Amino acid sequence: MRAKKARRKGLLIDKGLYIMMIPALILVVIYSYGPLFGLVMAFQRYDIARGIFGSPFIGLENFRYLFINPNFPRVIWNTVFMSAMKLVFRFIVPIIVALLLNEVQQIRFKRTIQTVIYLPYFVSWVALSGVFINLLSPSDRFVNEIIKALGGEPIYFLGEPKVFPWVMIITDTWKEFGYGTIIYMAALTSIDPSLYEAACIDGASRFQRAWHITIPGLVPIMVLNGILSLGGLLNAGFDQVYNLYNPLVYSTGDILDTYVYRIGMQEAQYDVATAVGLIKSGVSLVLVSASYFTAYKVADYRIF
Amino acid sequence: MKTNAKRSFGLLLVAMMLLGGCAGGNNNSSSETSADTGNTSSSASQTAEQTPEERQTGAYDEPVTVRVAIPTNAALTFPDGDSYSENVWTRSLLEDRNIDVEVVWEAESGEQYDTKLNLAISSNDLPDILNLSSYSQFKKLNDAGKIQELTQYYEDYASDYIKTNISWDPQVLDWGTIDGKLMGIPQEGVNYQQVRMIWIREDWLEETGLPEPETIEDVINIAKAFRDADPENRLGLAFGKTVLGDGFCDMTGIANAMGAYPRVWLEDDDGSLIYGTIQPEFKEVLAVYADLYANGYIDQAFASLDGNAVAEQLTSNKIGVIIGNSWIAGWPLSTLYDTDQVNWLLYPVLPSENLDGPVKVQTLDPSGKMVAVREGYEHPELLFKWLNYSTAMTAEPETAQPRKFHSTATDAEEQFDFQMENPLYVYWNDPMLNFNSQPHVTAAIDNDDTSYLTTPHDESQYASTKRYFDKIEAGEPITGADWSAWRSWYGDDSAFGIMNGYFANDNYLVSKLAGYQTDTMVRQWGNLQTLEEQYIVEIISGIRPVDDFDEFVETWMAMGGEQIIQEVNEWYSSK
Amino acid sequence: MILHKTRGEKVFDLFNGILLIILALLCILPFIHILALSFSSSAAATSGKVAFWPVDLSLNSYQYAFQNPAFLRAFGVTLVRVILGLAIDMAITIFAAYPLSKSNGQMPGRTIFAWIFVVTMFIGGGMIPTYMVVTMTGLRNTIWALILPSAVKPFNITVLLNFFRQTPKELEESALIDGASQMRILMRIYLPLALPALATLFIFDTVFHWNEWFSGLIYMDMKANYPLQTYLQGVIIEPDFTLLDINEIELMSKISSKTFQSAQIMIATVPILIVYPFFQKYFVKGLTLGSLKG
Repeated sequence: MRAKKARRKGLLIDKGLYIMMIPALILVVIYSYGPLFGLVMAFQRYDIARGIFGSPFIGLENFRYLFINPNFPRVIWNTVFMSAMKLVFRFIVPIIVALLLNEVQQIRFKRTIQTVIYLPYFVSWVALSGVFINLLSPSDRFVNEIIKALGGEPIYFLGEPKVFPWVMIITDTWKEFGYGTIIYMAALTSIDPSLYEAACIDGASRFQRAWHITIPGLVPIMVLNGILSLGGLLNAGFDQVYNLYNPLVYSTGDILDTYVYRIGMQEAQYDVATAVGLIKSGVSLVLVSASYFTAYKVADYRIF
Repeated sequence: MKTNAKRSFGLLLVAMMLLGGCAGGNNNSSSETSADTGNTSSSASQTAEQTPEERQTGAYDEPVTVRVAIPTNAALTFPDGDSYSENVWTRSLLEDRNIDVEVVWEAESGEQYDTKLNLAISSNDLPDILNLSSYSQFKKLNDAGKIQELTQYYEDYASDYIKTNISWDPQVLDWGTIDGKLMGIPQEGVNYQQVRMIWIREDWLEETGLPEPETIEDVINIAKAFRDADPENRLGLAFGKTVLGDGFCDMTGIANAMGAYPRVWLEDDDGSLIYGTIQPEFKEVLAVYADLYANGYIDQAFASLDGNAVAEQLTSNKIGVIIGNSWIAGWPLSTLYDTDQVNWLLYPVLPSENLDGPVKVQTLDPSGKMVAVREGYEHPELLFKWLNYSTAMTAEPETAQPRKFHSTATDAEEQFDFQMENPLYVYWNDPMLNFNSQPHVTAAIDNDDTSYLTTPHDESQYASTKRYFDKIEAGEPITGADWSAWRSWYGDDSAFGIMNGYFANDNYLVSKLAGYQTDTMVRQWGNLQTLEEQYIVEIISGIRPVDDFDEFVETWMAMGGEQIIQEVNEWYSSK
Repeated sequence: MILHKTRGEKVFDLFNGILLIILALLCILPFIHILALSFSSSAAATSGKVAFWPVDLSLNSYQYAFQNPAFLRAFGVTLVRVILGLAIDMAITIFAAYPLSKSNGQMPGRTIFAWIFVVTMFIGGGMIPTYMVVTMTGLRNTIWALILPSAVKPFNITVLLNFFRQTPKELEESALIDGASQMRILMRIYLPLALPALATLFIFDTVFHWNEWFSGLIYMDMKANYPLQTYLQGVIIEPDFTLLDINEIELMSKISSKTFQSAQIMIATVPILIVYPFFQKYFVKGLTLGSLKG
């Protein structure tokens, strides 16, 4: 059979393009869309022994169970605040570091720094929690020694509700920024060097070159990264918070995932967990599609 | 790309799976009915033919396959070529009983095993013998008709030795009984070893010159004196974030000394059940801890410290008083002995000056771990044949082969814990086994006469304790392991000596709820425990006054506690 | 690029260098601490004496990890997994990203397809149903269970499609006029130009397959089939002391979770330290694009 060809905007529709996607589509349909039948658990009193097909339906009871808890609004606020701040820092810091690295001319130095800042990404929060609890302890350790030397009062960073979210935000940024930087470093390579050469000839300063050439070159990846990470707004980092929080900071530190974990601790409450997952999915989809279509309407640009 | 195109069959598979799921549902109901009838007939016919002896210890005529899942222990080592699925137990079971063990899956015990087991249960892919990690799994499987009744098989096939040990504590069989039917066998009885005692650093006590303690107030004062002697480097008392129970740095010991029993369901004077944490006695305990905190005798950041962090403080010589369980001799005290040769004095939980009546020490809640048999498995009696075999080979005096099945000779280069290699790591041994070893070991050493040792267990504890004395005599350095054996087994002031004292003086207090959970508990208990911990930590840290305890009790009641108390009492009175 | 720097630029370079060094130190110090822990005796580690240099040097943790035959087996599983996984993931990502980088005009429906992939980043069926699907499709207990269910990585696809878009359209148009197929255009024009992006995704994917452990746990029935990180995860699990008797405690205390955990982190990181510099040459600015144009 001959491929049917049509001319549109000067380019051809090519069957080959569709064929290329088939493997990915099949896998996604089976392993990502297939399991979605499990979402019915959100509306069941799920009983492992009866399974998805035998557990009784209870309507919106699982959602009600979450919402009626007086602490729930506070938990949502903590989650959104902590995660929004993390998104901002995770977004900005890698860009700045990539720009600074871009200005380094010694290749070896540049590569070394690049490798080193990626390292924290590999250490789990379980292992890091011990290190941070020691460093930030009010009694006799490192950070508070410095504060005392400067004449301040020791602070129980992990026990002070006002401070705790910021400790989470800063340590999270520390752990993750190296990962983000890698993508921007790659994006920098796709900027046409001739643009820089032309700017040099025009006498542009380094700052002007960065501002007018480098940053605009990074915009597509920046926007993509920013919008996709919006989808994680209700994921404020379970592993980190769970390993570092304590009852003293529940008021500001308890997030959706830790809260659900605690109330379901007695046994695996898969139904409630599924309900929470559904809420998260809904919020993510709304945020991501809203920003996707805004970008499309305002800038006529499809981010993906 | 062609092969990938074929995978679109995957779509079909998904559809089939949905259908398959429904079909599976139907299967269950039909197998339930058929199995019910099968049960009685097979057991009746076998009982008629065989003597009790043959039933309990006889081999099958033909090899009978049994599928099991194993909660593994990564620290366990095997002789070359062996594994959980192929070792001395699997070989001997096949040889001696014609039981062919097939391991269908294995996972590290704890969270990993639980996850795998939940998946297996959810997808209706059950092993024949079920090693269940919680009472709620057991109850759900029962409610869904996935496990079979064992009453008659227990009667006919369990050996007298096992029956004696299981019914030593009358409540144990109750745990496995639902609506009058025995549906499962608890993996262990009441955990009398998980109970608090007082550990005091000997060198620091000498240094302060204080007399040995007689009351809990004395103990607290000793802790204070330890810190006051060197406030820069020392804390008084070991205390961490698990305030109500890890057996190492919690408040349970002092609470018990003051007549408070947090997280225990205990019988009130009128025979009804009450919940320990919300009783007024516990408020007094909070006041003591709030005072300790305010004066710096416990770590200001205790709310962040898990057991490992407290162990770190201990091994860096910051802590002089611990009110914890017997196992802390093995860890972390033995680590400290290895580095700094620190000896600890041991006392039972000493009563408060204000306590009326004798001290009661609370035991750990029963784990709720059960073994059960899958509905539809044709040889439910096999469970008991296996359990009989396990104890016969390791513990029963006439039949035991300790070198083969328990642990290799203690003088061997490499030691193997064969007992733990058993794919069904459930031993209904004498519940007093550990406790009896202590006087036996002590007498054997004092009289230099090994005839006091009556069980393989005695012998292995004797060997490690004797090493401590031998090394002293030879002037060799003593390791933490030697010290911990000696501290655990030798003398009345050893860990097991103290616990034998608890038995003799009737000090034990066992929660009456025993792994059971009422409907409201299933949903609300997590919330209530959070509330509990939050109030306790905030009151101790001085963020709230001690009087807020009353507010806590009110909130606790309103958040479902009252409902739970009612349900628990209904359940209790129906027993 | 330029030979003569102004004074201001020199000052900037100095501060920039210092700032980056501080940043790097902040990142590497905890790491050195962990390295030191992994080589210390467990007694020294638990007593908090270890800072940036091993105390009471001990190879116990590594010995324990390496000596065990299970370690080598798990290492082998992981090796196969990384190689197979990388090949399949990269192929899937490239072949999905390329069509999606076209305009709606050239490939009608591409936006819908893009959404089909992206949506899966935010919505999933959960552990139990996924386990059931993997079992039904016969992957359980095979290496494919570690590869196929996670082979489509929407984030990687979207990143790559954005890179593809930056390739000048004229190159494709002239190739089409020459009668080249899309496959050929992808291979000859787009892929070489997207090397920096591919290198990035390659690193991400290597890290993913090297470190991911949960699917190993739930899809593999026997420990002999575990990939390395699943095996290590099982070894350092915190024992629940309240449930052990005194003999078991002794057994458990032979491995200090602290030193072992540190060794595990090292094992997790080493391949990256090996692989990463190798790929960094693709990050040197303008290398590929410049050479192609030159």
